[in-house]
Amino acid sequence: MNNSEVGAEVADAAQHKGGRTYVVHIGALTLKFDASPVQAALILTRAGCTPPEDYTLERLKGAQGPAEQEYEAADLVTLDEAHAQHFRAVPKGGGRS
Amino acid sequence: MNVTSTVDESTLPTALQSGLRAIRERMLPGAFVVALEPNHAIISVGTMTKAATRVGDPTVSDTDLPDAYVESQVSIFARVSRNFPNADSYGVVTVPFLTRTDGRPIEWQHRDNANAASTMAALGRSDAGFWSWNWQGAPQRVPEDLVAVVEWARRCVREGAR
Repeated sequence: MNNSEVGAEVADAAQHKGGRTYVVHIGALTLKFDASPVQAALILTRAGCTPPEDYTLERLKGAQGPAEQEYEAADLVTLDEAHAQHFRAVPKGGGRS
Repeated sequence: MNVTSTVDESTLPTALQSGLRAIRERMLPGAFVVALEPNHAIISVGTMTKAATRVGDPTVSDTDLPDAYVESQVSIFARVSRNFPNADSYGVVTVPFLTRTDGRPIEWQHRDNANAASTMAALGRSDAGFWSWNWQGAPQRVPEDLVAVVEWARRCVREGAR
């Protein structure tokens, strides 16, 4: 989905709801939120990453990285950019051995 | 690199099949099993490509490869326990073996490792890297927690660039 399509999606949702909808891409999922900021835990949970405390949410620069900001589950995430935002859910644990 | 699968996933444990479905629905529609070992399944989790060399837009199956590597693209495979979530997964395989631009070795990446043999045989390649990368403390409660394996494997490669 390109930026114009995302913009159209946001505008369409706003027209129906009477307010802005914030579009979030995480993995293969597209999620919509009616408010900003939201807790990182909410984004992670809606992406199926539960319990959210097992993951770090990373805001990406562009569609596939690199990460520009990290959030723990309890952190607030501001979504009010002009365009849809891309995130990844990185599991905690694991590592070199 | 074009990779195809000859593995009949219907023969895999039900929990692993559920995990694979979750990966495809939420993370990576193109994920598939490349090879089977007695205790592990080798899952293709896409590619990483340097942004500067990528042709076209990035996709969910092709995330950024750090510039600290000499190579411009790598295919990534996660070595997942066939008994997930009841046993730990272990290891990431990359094709090709990755080298750093500064020449520093990556201590947990190995050439000619037996744990990469099934992947290399399936792909017809001999230039894989096996990364000793554990699952300790990673999500492992229900089959759908297998979605974590995609970023778990990508993080392994990103860590090698630090």
